[in-house]
Amino acid sequence: MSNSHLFLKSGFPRAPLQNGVGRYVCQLQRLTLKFCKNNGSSRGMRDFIENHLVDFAKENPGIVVYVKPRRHRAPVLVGEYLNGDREWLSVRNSTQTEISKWIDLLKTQNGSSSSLRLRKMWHTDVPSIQGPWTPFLLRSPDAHNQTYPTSEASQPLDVPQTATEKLIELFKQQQLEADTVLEQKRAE
Amino acid sequence: MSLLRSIAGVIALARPINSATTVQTRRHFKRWVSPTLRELAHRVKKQGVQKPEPRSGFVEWNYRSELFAFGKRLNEDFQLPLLQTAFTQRTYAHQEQERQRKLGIAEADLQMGDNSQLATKGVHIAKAYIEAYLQNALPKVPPVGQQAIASYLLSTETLAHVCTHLGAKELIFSTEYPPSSETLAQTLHAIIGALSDSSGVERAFLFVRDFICTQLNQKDLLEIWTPEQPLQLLGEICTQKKLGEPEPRLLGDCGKNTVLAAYHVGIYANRQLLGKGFGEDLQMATETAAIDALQTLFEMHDDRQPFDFRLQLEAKNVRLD
Amino acid sequence: MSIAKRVQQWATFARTWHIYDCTWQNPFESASLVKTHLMGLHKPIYHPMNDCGDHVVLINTKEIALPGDEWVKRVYFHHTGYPGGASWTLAWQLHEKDPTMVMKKAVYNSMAGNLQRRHTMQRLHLFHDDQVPQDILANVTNQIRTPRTVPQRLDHIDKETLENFPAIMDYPKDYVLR
Repeated sequence: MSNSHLFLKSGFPRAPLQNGVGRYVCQLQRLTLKFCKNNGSSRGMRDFIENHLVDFAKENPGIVVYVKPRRHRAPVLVGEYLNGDREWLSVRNSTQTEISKWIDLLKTQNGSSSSLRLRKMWHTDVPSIQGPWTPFLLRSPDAHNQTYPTSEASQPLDVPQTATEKLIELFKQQQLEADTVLEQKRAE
Repeated sequence: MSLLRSIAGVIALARPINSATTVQTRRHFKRWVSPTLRELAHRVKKQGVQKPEPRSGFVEWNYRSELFAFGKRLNEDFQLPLLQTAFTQRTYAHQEQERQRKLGIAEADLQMGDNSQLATKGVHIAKAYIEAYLQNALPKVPPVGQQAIASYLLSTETLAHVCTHLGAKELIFSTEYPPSSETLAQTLHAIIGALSDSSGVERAFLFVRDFICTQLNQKDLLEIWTPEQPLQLLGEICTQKKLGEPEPRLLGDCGKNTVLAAYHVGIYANRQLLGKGFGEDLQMATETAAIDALQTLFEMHDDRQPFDFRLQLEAKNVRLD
Repeated sequence: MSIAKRVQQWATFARTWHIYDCTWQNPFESASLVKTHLMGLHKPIYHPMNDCGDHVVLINTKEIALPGDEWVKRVYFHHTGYPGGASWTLAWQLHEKDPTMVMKKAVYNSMAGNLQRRHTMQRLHLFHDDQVPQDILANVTNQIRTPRTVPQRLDHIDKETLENFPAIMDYPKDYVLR
């Protein structure tokens, strides 16, 4: 984002009117081709109108195409969208293939894309399937009825065995072994 | 810039052509340009906010093509005269007849249909279909809730929003511009009526499904309809379904003695957890827990299966009165 | 926003109260643990611009254990701002003056010196013993586990256990027991 975009509207990619959920509606409603009949910069536009415009209009009956000749002005494409946007595109010195590509772009977008800075490339109204986190999540039911502070809840979870405990364990084991030896002797 | 250019042209013409001096181009703006533009801007500002210009006033405007494209865009076959009638408001029709009468046109030619009849037809179709659709999509929601959701879908704001995004705003014959939301809503009804007359009531049903019912997509249904007195309602439903008496229990709390206290309450019936809720006090937490339980019972949670907008309802299931 | 979404937000940003027993704990080791809870770093919703810190109640700060010879080697510096106003206080001296101060400074110094630090410190409640007012104790719903166990003192072990403790070796006969 540069300084020239400070006043640019920003938003998220959205389909107007849940477009495509029910049925798809082409969002370009009007296309105006403005050109000059004898200026060189309009040559590609004139070629486009001569060769492709009728086919384009037949293929897209939902787009109203206006052709507006005007003297000594650069050729211009103006697309008007269902959401009220209007996109103005200069096609000065463009060839007819370039123009058909531009028109294809106008036809396939939701609104004037150049007048919106996308904050993110995605958007969702339901951000988490599991639901948002809360401090109550995954809390042990035991924790609720306790009165703090307690010494049990204060102790670390992984306490290694101390030397004293090890010693007592060894001692008990020794005693057990001694007992079994004694019993065996008695049995004999 | 055009102003600049024309003035440059005038200056160029005003010069004597036959003079021998070479034409000297200037590479700077004239001293008067800035004050003039400032004055113009000042006048525009003084006039205040202007109403938007209707698109139909432009040179590049062909109403017939626009009407034709309107139907084609929505993949529908309209009878164009019917569609034009659907776009004509009653007030506009009256005004136009008055104007023509004053001009001395014979009474027989003054017939100009308006959209009120088509609109009443459209209202019936839309209402009947939406009710049938909700019955199918949200079968467990009680009739009160279904009615609330239906009236949200049929509200003037929703319909006006749909209507503007279908591109009808410029096509409406109305005495005011931009048309009010009531006008837009009525026009959408009339379009549905016109579609039903042109290509059958089934197409009208599909139109309602694709453009009005889809407004429910990803909506928080609780925002549209929240059950009133949820705990009481939950009790009634639990006795109906023989789930047992609902009993709220505290699951956890945070900072009891502070203003930021938070409580977590679960609602149990017959030792089964029905729903959980949070709140700033126990009463609110119990209420939201009851709402959560009701949402589960009514199957209107956020994470329920999404609405099926490809559903084909049979025409006999839609009750047109 | 529906009622469910509103209370969801309320619950997500609810401030939990933790209690931490400082008995026999290294204050500098504990400080990083306490800081985590004070700033909310342990939450999945943490973000530096997100006010999600919890309250921590520190008890028994009088019983802290400094490592090594820190009690006599650690020096706390203060300057009044006037010429000749500098003063150096040893840790044991500071602890005698205010038994909560060493712990408080340890937590304060463990955090980055930004504008948030003093506000975060407001959520720290220190008590030199285990006498916590009831209205504060009622808020507490969690206890932070200490990194170290509290060692048992020899004179606190009862006589019976001591006598029954297994002898590792026998003293020589001529060994003089005092």
